Amino acid sequence: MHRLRAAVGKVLDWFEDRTGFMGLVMPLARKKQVPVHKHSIWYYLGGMLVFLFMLQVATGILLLFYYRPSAEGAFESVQFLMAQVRFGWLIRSIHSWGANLMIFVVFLHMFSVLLLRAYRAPRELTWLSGVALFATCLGLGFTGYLLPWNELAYFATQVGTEIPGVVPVVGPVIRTMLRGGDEVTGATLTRFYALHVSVLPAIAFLLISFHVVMVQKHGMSVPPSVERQGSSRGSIPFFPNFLLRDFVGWLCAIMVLASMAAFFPAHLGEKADPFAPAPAGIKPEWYFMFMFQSLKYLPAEILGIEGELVGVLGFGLLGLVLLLVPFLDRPDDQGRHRKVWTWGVYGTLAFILFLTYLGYTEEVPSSQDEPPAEAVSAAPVSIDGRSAAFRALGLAIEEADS
Amino acid sequence: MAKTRLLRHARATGLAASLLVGQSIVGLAAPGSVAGQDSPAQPCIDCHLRQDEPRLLEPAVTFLDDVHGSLGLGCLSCHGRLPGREIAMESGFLSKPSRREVAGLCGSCHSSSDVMSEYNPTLPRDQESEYWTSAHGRRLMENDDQGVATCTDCHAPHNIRSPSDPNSTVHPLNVADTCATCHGDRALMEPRNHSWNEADDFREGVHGVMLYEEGDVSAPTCNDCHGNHGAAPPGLSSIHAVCGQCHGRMDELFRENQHDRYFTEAGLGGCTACHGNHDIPSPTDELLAEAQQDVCRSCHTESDPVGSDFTLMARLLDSLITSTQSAEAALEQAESLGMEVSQAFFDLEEAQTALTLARASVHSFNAETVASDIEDGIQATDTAQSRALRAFGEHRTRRVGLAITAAIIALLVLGLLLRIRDLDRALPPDVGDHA
Repeated sequence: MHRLRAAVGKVLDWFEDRTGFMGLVMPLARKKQVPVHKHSIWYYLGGMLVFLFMLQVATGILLLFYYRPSAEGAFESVQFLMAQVRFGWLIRSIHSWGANLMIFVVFLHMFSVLLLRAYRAPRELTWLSGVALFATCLGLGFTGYLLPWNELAYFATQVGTEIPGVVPVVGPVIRTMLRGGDEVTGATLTRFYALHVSVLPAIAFLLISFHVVMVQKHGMSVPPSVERQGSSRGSIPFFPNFLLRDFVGWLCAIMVLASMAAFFPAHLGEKADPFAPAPAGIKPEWYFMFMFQSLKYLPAEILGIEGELVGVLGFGLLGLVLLLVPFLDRPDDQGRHRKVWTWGVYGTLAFILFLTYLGYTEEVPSSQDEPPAEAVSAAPVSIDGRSAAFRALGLAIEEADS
Repeated sequence: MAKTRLLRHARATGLAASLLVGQSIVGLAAPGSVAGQDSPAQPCIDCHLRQDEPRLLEPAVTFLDDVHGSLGLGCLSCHGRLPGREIAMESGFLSKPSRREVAGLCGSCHSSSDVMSEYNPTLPRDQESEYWTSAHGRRLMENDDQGVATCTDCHAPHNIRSPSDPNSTVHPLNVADTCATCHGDRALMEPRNHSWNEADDFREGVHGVMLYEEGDVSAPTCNDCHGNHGAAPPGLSSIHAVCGQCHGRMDELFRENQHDRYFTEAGLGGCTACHGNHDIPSPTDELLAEAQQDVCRSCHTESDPVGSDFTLMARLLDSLITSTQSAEAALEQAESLGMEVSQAFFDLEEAQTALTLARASVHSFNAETVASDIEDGIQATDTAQSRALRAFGEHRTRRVGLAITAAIIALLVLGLLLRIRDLDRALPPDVGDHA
């Protein structure tokens, strides 16, 4: 054992003599301290996200060995991977569940930063890069969902790409750019593939690097309440004390993902058929559900403007507010932040949770409980006769009724 | 040009009765707008629309949707000429053609290549001659039976529509009703020694269910087996050929083993001997045993080998059905465990194909032919079974793998926690443990 350790040490020394890498990194790692207080648990989310991103990259690369990005071959290649390739099911299931877990942790991370006001000066750029990363993650989820080219993904993408189309002037152009034409076709699949495996990961990598450098430069933010109360219990070194705790979290994440993969392997469903009627109950991924559901509940017209357009612009405005939070939530002369922001964050969180809940519990109308035509036309939340974005969903429901 | 041809033909046949050439003649039978003010039919329609008697009013109302009306043909195309607004019987006006005259009147245009090329080139030109060979036409011609159907009994006069029009009396969904107008009328059928419940029987049969319940308009209706203009019941010797229009494989096997001839000699009506005619039930494998007892015994005695072949065929079919069900159940179980078996399900469809072929092969009355199809099916179910078994094995492996992974991760976590404890002990005493 001693000899082995000596041999490994020699090899490492050999590399260090030539690269000087550890000499560069270790002082930075040792310099970093992690504050200890009652909210310290939220500090683990950032490291967890880096780990999950690396896991997605690794499993994604393995999937690339078999995946064929075309309308003719995508579904079959995933089917082959799931049924014939040794551990193919495991790789795809971990990639699929990993994506869900990563986006869930992104939400947690973002809301923890919002509630602990970790975005305040001088961390504005850290926040901006974080919001950009949030959008990139949603983009990765949206583009990746279509890649198996199955029925649910196909029609969900049709609805999803229809939504930006309601924005005047640029909307139709964005929709056509996303789809690579007027409809969701093989052209959409190839551009989603390109975005998913190269453009968005590259952007994410650059943003993560910048984000981590910023965190390194400014250190971990201590919440204002802890600062005021002086309740911080000192700090621990990032390396190795905090990093080893990170490892524990990562191992737990692997265990969760392995269990999900074993008990609930990623499903594949039926191959997408653009000429088939949309099946009933088409839903987006859970992280888009609140937006999807909100648009559905909006009336057809609000103050003479198309309801859906109001909804899309509303979410656009919400995104802008989110981006500009560090500049809008300015402390007063005593360094206190207004409570309204905290309540705003809780309100947004409740809104997201409630709409998501409604999205999953709402029943798809069937012919048995179809309301009379007059009731449908009078109902404020009726889907019938809705505008562009819900044509595909409206179609799905009509098909279910007929 | 079209007008000239139509007129030339009408003059030549004499049946559409002396159409006069000239725009000054009101009611000229020529293409043009029927509904418009200048329509050749307008004077007739104007007058008939003022009539109270439904018999006179209805033609004016319904003709607007008539295929002839939409082609610009006016009333006088069939009813002759109408100089001015006076009905001139002596000049050829045909107020209502007799039943004997109807086919000839329609045929005056429909049998003419010149006219039909102009208006509907795809329609056959032999509809009239076919009619005269039909059971209807023969009874009319030979017995002067005024109760038999002629063109206007099936094609609503003044409202004739394309067969593809759902409102047409000869649309596939309406044909049985149209036939039943007469063939469902006991008063009309009984004196002619004809049964009157065929349409009702047809609705209950497998073809009727396809047509009316499943909405499959490609399913055969009355005219697909009996013909339309040449409608006649198929003779004993031709029943298998009629059914063979759709059920080609069965007909082929039936002919190959010469049973078409044997059945005819025995006075049995080919396919209908076992399957019935109008109220054809959905065939089941039990039919084999029933046919063996009833139909086969018409010729075959108890000692004939036919009995063993029929029993064997039934067992072969049953074995494939059981095997398919078992494979399906195994794959469904594997699927419920989260295993990817969609390709195996797809491949199992070969067993269903083999079963369909085997059921067709029953018409060879030869167990070896059936066995050959069954063998292909059994091969497919065996493959599906082995895939399901492999999926179960894989599922067990995954569980074991997960348990091993969990044990390794637990050990690693434990090791890390011990290491963290050691490291934390080395920290200054005022730093709290937050892990």
